[in-house]
Amino acid sequence: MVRAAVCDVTDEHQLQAAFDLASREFGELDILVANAGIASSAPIEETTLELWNRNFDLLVQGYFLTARAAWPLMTRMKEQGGASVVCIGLKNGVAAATNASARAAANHLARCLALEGARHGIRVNVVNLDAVIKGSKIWYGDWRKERAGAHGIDSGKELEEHYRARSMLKRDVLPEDIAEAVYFLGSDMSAKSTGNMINVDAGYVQGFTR
Amino acid sequence: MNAQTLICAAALPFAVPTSRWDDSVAATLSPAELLLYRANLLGSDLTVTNFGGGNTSAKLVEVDPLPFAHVNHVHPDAIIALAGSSGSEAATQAIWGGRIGWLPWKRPGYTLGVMLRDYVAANPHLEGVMLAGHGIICWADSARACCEHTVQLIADAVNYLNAKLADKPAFGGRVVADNPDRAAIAADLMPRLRGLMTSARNKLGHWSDDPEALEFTGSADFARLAVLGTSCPDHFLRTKIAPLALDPARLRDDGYLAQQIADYRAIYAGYYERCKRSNSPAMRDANPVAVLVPGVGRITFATDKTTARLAGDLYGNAVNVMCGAEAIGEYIALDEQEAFDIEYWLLEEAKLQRMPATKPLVGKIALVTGGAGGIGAASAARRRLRGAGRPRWRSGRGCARRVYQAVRQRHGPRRCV
Repeated sequence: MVRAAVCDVTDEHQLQAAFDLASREFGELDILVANAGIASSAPIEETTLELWNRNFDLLVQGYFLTARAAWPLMTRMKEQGGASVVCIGLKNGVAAATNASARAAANHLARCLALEGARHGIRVNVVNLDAVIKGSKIWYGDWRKERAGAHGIDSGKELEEHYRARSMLKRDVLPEDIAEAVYFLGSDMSAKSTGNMINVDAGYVQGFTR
Repeated sequence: MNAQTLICAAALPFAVPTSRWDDSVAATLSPAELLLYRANLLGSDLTVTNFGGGNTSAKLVEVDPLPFAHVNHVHPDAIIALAGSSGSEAATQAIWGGRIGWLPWKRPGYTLGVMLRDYVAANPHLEGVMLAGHGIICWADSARACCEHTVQLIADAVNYLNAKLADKPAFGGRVVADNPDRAAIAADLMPRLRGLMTSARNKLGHWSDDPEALEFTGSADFARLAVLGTSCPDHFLRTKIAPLALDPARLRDDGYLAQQIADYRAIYAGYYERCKRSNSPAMRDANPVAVLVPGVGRITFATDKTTARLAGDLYGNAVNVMCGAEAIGEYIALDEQEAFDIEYWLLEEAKLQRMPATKPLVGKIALVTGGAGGIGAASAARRRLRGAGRPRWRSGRGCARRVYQAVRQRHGPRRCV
């Protein structure tokens, strides 16, 4: 059963209301997928402070506030096998400076939360992706044009072909591929894993975890 | 308990059923199809059959203890209320003046069938029999007459009970007012309870503050009646016999909650030990299913959302039964051993053992932010196939609703495995 709510993940009051709804509708929380994010791409001299802040607001503050809201619910599940946080990351935080810096901070937050969460039975892991184009809101409008412009190609089919060709495995990365990794990290199949990253990016050298 | 407010609202009335028989449809059907039509008419009517849990039956008799062509057996709330009261026999006589017979409680089975056969043979004028603690069985010469007869008997019972309930509050009147903050209280309480309900599999909760739940939990008679438990097998197979009642003043006290859950489990284990037989199945999960809080409502827990919601609905049916039964006498709960023999009936156990194997995320609750985008929606759909219940949110407007609708369309509105 699915319930949906609209919520600004940078607003702690809206987030609390959303988590309260989850508690009231289902009773609590076992799995959190921190996924709400943005992408941006601009050379540093063209990056406004507003764009910088927007990236950090959503990706760092947003992930922090979401995890913080989930924490008191998740600590209650220690006796019943614990809980799992899955953070969606991008390219292991090595790419366009502004977005990637925020992504790197979010990935680091996840590892530190894995340290802090272990004694409460909370696992925290990251799925690093790259170039998931299908269905993604971040690829509409300016970002698609920006990336196409950065690579000197058109923003239609050519862009998808560009990313496929750039990947080591020469394959498209689909939302369903990310979902498989999220599912694994959310379920008890990964009950003994925390502080990890799984790359689902068809092979991207800069994104190798280190 | 907060008893400063006494609210004297009249009891909520029972709904009156009306016949839905349509001759233009019936004229096109074979005898077998007519039986199905009749069963579906009754089975889809919430004033006749418990939603999701009823076992209304319609029979086209060939070999049966009763010598009638068309037989119906139903357990709507108003009928069980009549059946489950100290005033059952007197009310049956008052409503139908001898047209409907009355038999004392007997566990459903072959012996009850034989009792019925002999009773009806000795009283050939009867149009039906009220079965104490159970329901009603009635008959007629045609499918249409049987269907309409059944609905009329329920309407008769409803009208009788509504007249008795009129102009006075149910359950001795309200002593606890509806708490205006009950949604926030439920949101705070449910995770506390869920964290304490350790068992083989995680549970999902369902909160309801429907008028019936608030009327009952906030009433003067709540404490006395709640411990008596539900009396209809249809109800208690889903709700367990007794609910857990909590003191609304102590809901944030984790020590109190832990003790309440521990006590409930000990009481349930005691019931199992007292009643078990040499071949009884092993004790099932001892946690409470229904948790009742005056002023806040009813919270039910089960291994999936649909079952939790159904358990809540069925406890609501049980409350209706108590309401009607108390209006014409005293509510009579089922004998403990009788209830146990039904709950741990070997055939019931066989049914449970045949349930499909659970999927890995059953009982898990997941929250996906950014759920309206490609990755979030795919993650949500992926989990759904494996059984998790989940809310998800994103920062955009409208998108979440759209994806939610799409997931619902793909997987059905209430399928949560």
